[in-house]
Amino acid sequence: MSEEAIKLGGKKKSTFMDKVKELLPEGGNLNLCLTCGACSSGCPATGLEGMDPRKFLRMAALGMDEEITTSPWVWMCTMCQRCIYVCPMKIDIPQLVYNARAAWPREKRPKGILGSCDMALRNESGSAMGTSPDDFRFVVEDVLEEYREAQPEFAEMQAPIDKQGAEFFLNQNSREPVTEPDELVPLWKILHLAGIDWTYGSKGWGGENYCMFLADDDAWKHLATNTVQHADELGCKVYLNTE
Amino acid sequence: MNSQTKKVMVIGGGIAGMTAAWELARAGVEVALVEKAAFLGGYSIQYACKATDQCQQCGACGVEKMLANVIGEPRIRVYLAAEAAAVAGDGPFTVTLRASGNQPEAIDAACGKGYEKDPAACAAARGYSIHNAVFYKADGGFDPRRVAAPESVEVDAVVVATGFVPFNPDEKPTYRYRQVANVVTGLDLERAKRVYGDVRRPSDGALPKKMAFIQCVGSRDERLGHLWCSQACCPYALRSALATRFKHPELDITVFYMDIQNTTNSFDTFYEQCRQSMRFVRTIPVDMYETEDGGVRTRFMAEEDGLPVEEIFDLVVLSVGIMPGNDNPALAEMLGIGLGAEGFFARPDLLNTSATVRNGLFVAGTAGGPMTISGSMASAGQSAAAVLQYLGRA
Ligand SMILES: Cc1cc2nc3c(=O)[nH]c(=O)nc-3n(C[C@H](O)[C@H](O)[C@H](O)COP(=O)(O)OP(=O)(O)OC[C@H]3O[C@@H](n4cnc5c(N)ncnc54)[C@H](O)[C@@H]3O)c2cc1C
Ligand code: SF4
Ligand code: SF4
Ligand code: SF4
Ligand code: SF4
Repeated sequence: MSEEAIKLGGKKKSTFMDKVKELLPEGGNLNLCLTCGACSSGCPATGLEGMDPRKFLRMAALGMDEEITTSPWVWMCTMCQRCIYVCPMKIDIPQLVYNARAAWPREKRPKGILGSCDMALRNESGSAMGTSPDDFRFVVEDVLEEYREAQPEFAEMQAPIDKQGAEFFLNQNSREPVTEPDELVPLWKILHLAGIDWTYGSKGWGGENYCMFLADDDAWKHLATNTVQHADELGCKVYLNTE
Repeated sequence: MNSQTKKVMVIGGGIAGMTAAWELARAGVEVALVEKAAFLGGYSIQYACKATDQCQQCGACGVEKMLANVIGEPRIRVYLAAEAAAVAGDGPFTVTLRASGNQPEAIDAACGKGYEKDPAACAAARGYSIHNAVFYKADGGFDPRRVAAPESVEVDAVVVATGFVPFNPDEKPTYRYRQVANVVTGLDLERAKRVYGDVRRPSDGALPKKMAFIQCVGSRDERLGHLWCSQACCPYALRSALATRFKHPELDITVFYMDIQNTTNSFDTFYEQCRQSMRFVRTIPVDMYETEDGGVRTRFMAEEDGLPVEEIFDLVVLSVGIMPGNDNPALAEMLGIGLGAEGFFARPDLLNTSATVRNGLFVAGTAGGPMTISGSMASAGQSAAAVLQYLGRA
């Protein structure tokens, strides 16, 4: 016979934090906080908007849902996970932040991230800069040719797009092809010297995923599915996420 | 009552092992005290006195005293640089011994051929206490008449007092211990104070002007699987800070903490004294950077004003906690006694915490869990009493 836990008092109102706990493995350890402040000491967003990760978690634990789901600080968290790394209890604060972001009406979320996500949804590249597959192909081929000519030791270097059966599928932040094309090259060189068989994809090559930062799960999933499906179609074994 | 002389082996010659050995010897039992290191006293013989104008009851001098007792007690036979390799029988036990390979530390210039030139530094090089000198010859090697272990010993009972290891801060890499010269552990601080008689910065030997202690390093940490409070690190850090402040009233001390462990009866007055002479910040800093002149720059959250603050300290002390001994798994297996989930020796009987799962085998001190020197002595006293009862002597 299973033993029922004895319940004290009435049923507590389910808070925002309770809901997040239900979503996370082991509840994200959210109720194990020792209030030691290590997270806040290491967090790049500490002090912005009068908030820091320890305070944010405390407020969530106290059921201050209104403040938690409206504080603009959630958009200043970089999702770097440094707080989890230094936390003695491995508490998943970025997940709490993520869910607090998701509680914002979509149109109220920060313009920059929102615009970048929407842009990425509009093209097959998944590019937040709106770069089309054709433009990407043009830049890659152009830069490759330039380097092969200027640096004879890299005359054989490849930067294939849609190479069927390549082992590695590589994505790419779409800022570089647009603003800093030379920045594409160092990684090509490393892959060349290491003798790696890789390819970009014409579809889903844009590696930045602003929809994730926007906490728009459906759009995030759409972008991720788009690129992974293309890697599968090409028969690539390993997906290399450079972001 | 048994008139035949009983014999007990104590494994580990720290404060717990020495206390158990001495209590047993005083009750007429012959004791074989087997110590893996090249000296007696374990960690606690390495600590400095933390008195201000008054004794602060840190317990360190009690270890020195117990070491003197053990050396002067003819019923205790000390085997240094030795460890138990196998235990056979169900009481009496035949314990096979082997050399541990630990030799006395090389004698440095400070020590020369004896203790006279620089007694403190020399004591540190040779077992941290002048009382350990009896085990060595003038040239610094072991005196075989005092320490050489036989191949095996027949005993009626065994006490496991193999102690703990201080937390290794490499497991919390953002503290950058070993990379930043003036980030030290509480143990480094104690050893240095014992050798030089004062607090020094490792980088240049200067007296620090601004010093920080970071509490709970390695303890109360789910990530590391160390959920326990180590009990000893609040008292040692605060007493050490208070003693250093007393000696150098201009010294600026900050204690970063999450909780302060209340361990003594007079804790309230003690804590109040601490609060008046140092700053307490209820936040744990995590990142340490070295400045050009050897300072340690760190960042933390000042709760009062809700802003991150950067500060530079001359010396940062990590208050490392008490972790299960490195040998615990192998010893537990060899002795047929289990370890608890946390890695200390299991003590299944809540009313007799020195008993193991095996008759005739007992635990004392931090081998069984985190405790202070006085806690270890009390635990060893209980073990000795339980052994005597088992031997039919009490
Ligand atoms: C930095 C620091 C400062 C501290 N300061 C204080 C203080 O001021 N006051 C206080 O009350 N407490 C203090 N403590 C706690 C104190 O160190 C312990 O309570 C005490 O040392 C425990 O004694 P022990 O004999 O159980 O263990 P140990 O001191 O670890 O002694 C165990 C002995 O067993 C030996 N041994 C280990 N394995 C084997 C083996 N396989 N075979 C044979 N021998 C073996 C070891 O070499 C060692 O000599 C401090 C702790 C730390 C980390
Ligand atoms: S580091 Fe972890 S335990 Fe410490 S305050 Fe932050 S969330 Fe809580
Ligand atoms: S994930 Fe967010 S809260 Fe955590 S350290 Fe990074 S910025 Fe701070
Ligand atoms: S402060 Fe510690 S070492 Fe010094 S006399 Fe008191 S108990 Fe002994
Ligand atoms: S004694 Fe103090 S420093 Fe040590 S683990 Fe406990 S609370 Fe932390």
